[in-house]
Amino acid sequence: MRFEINKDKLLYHLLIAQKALSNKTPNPALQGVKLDVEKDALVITTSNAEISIKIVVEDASLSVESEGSVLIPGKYFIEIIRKLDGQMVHVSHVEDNLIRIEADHSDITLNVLELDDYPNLVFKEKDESVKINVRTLKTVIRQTAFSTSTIENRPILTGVHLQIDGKTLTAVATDSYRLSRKTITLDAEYDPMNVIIPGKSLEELMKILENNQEDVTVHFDQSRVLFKYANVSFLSRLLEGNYPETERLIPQEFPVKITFNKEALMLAIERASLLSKHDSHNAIVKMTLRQDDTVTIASNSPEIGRVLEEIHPVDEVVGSPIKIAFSSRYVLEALKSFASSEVAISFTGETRPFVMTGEFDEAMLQLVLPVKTD
Amino acid sequence: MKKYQIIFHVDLNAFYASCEASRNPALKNHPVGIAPRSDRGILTTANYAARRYGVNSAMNVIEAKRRCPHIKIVPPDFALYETMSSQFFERLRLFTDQLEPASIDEGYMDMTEDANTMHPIKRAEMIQKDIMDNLSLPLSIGIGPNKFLAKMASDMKKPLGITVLRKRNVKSKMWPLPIEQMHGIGRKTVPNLKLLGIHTIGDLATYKNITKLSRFLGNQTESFIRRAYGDDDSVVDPSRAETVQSIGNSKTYEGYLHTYDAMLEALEGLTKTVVRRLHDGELACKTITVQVRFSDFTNHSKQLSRSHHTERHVDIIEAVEHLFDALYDEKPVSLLGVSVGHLEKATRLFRQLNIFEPETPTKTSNVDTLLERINAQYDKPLLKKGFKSSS
Repeated sequence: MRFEINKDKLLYHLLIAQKALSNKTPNPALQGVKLDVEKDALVITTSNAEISIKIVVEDASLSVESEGSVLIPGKYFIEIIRKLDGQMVHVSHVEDNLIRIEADHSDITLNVLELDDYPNLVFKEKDESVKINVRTLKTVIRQTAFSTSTIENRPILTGVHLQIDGKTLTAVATDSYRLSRKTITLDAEYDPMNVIIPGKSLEELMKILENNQEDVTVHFDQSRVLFKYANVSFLSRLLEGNYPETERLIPQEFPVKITFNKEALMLAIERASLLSKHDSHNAIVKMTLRQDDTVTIASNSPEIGRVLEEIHPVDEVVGSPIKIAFSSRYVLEALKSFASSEVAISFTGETRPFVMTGEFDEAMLQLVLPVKTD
Repeated sequence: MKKYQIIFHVDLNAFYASCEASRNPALKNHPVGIAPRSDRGILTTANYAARRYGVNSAMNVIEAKRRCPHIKIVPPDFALYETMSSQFFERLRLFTDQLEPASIDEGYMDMTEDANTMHPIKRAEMIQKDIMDNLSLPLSIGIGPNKFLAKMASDMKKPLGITVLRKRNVKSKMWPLPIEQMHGIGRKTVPNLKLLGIHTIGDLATYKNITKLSRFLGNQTESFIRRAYGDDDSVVDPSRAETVQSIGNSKTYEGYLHTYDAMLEALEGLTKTVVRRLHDGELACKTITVQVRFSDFTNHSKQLSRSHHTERHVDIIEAVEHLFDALYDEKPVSLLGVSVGHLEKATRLFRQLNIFEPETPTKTSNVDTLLERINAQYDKPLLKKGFKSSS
């Protein structure tokens, strides 16, 4: 195996592959980057227990002298390529267990890992796949994945629930304290589909998706999902089990609705969170709608001080005075996911979920459970 | 060891109510009860003005209002109490660094060294005045040659008492006291001791049948008897409060546990005790750990960190079962342990609601507390909820 390639091109692709590289793994082979050098392509593969990435590099700067496969310790390989001088890098398999990297004035040899130990990863495409525009997919992930649970006692909640019904795709995520739901319309009819994709996988995928004009094709399997984007194949395992029924948990009627300027509301909540004793990411903040339709945001830490913020709703308020307490982090993260500059918050009661919607965030809702004070 | 010691037990009187009066002096001589804003609430504290009407803590609000119609019910402000508590201990540290906080409103001070510079009673008066002047909180102080006698002494005169209990006064002053007033004797133990004919601390000190006694007092029998005679070797340990960062309970099984069901049942028992101790300390936890030793002597443990603190049994047992499932290896088990950590004062003021557990009025939790209280008295799950008892 022997090839030469533009160093920056190689690094660019290695950094994508790095997203699926394991540092801590019971299988040492997974610490490696697998290179398959073919006649006119370099194939880079990485994998951890959750996701696997395969990139087919067919760059003009690539010249293959001889074909072959090798498994290189990923951490060292990527750092070496990152630090190299010169434009081109020359990589060759010199002995059974050594790889040689040459560039400019550098000549580096590295022990390779046992290729036979590498798992056989199947990036098989299906005949039928779902096509989604990159921008749309990124929006779906950005507006839902943050609500997945990060603790493992209910593993199913660490995933985003995706359902396809005809031309409609609905994504739902909840950690039981807040819930995000986004619906999009696909450009064709598809067979019904119902899967749960780990939220972490989707967040890694989002980092790879760059060009908003392109499409991603999604291939579903029983236990895995494959995203094909440009020259990248991104494989994630699916979570097994039934996602809890969430639709009936979302209130349908709201006696109180207040519309805010999103930035003004976020700043007020952030200021009210500053004096939290424990951490300012998770302060308890009280929102009060007063008789005169002004809204106050308040927090109180007896040993530090208190904050009182007054906000004027940007639209006519519907409903009567209400007082509700919530964890600032959940509301701030939800608000951040909106593209709209005005966000409406609808309430059903002091101990009932409240829902946020925005005019320019079609078919998206963010729900937060309040904190009960008594 | 030192030849003699001078220990103070400092105890704030009707602490929550005193804090409220400190913030709002108008409450000072008015009957006050601390309870959540609801007629079904239970008083956590009643001040001395209310106690004169026969109101006491653990009484429900309706009864308290019946006995004292003009009582003012104030909802608890745990943040205030915590702040005042830490200010209290800070002021005490001005007198000695040999201070061991024992709970939010009481602690022990080793004043042996200090006695070389000032007479202990003079010093106690000074501390009492300092706390009153700076924090407006009434304090009782017990002085004794060890922690136990100091604690017993501080209970003898409240509020604002200073009481000395010397070893030579144990027989005359402490022995006539009813056994339930002996520090360390739990509510559950009292009825059992009474069955043995032990009604006073003196009865315990002079009880002849140690074997019978140890059936109820366990391996602490000897130390209780020594205490009844006024002897106690425990020392004031300033680091003790800080080290209570977790609560754990584990048990070894000599004949091994062989079935998954038996292990789960054992874990339920361990969890119950941990949860009860959590409630006793009015604490909530964030991490839950399960420890297992298999028959091959290998030890394994697994921990889970929750996104919110909890003191609820359902949350903790759910986590314990989940963790155990991950550890279970189809091998016999010789030890099981459950512990909870990242403890914090349970601020029952706030509870993050959960979408999958729709909020029903506090009914369920009242039922839970009631069941728990009854079961705790009998030390076994005498009462269960209907949907559970079919098993």
